[in-house]
Amino acid sequence: MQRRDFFKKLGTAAAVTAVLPSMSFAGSAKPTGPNKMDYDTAVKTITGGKTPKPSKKVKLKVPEIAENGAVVPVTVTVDSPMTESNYVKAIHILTGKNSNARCIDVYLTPANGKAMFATRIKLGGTQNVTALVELSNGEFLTASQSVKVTIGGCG
Amino acid sequence: MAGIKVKAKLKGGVVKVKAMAKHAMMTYNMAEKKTGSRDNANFITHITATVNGETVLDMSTSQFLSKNPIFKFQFKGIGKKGDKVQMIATDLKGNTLKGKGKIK
Repeated sequence: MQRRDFFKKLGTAAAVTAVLPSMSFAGSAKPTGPNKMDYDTAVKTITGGKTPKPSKKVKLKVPEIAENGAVVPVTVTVDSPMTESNYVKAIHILTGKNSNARCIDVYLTPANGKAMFATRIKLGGTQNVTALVELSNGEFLTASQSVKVTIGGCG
Repeated sequence: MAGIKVKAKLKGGVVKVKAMAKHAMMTYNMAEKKTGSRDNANFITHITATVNGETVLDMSTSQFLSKNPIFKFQFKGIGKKGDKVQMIATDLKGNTLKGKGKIK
């Protein structure tokens, strides 16, 4: 790798963490133990005290029974026009009982065209999986579903 | 070092991306059980995807993504066939994983 290239990338990484200091827990100091953020605290941190509304616009696709908690596919789709004035700002996937409720935070822009994101997560046991969606007008929408886990995946 | 596999496809003006990061995603509990020390935990904390220098996706992740996590997302209006989707991930130990894929 070129030296110049390396510094450029370092710069972008630093800029990204600098822009999102309050939103991104990844950019903050390295945690020493399990980040004990329970579900309610996580929701409060993300929404800043607002109560999220359950909405049918948010479609959360997770299996009802997961055989293996180590690999649980999750798909979140949000019904949104994704224009400059009305778009989905962020999708957060939260879990009810994992030692850190915040699983993943995804930040979107109007350029995404469709608010859709899929990944695979770990679940320590039977619990609720929640998608918390932040809209550009400051509203928060949620959808959740309980997942039965036969073999835990966190230990 | 492990990297990220990126596959991108342009269809009807929308680019759909599938990416897989090769990473053990060791949680604190797993690290303690397997190696006896919590300090051996290592997982991806931040991922960005860019096309021609424009960020199309930015995410913070935690220990609770599965091993070798997969990401699927889409965007439109940025990039054309032949352009490259570049993804950079940073993990807890400060390593970076990189990967790029051509838009087909």
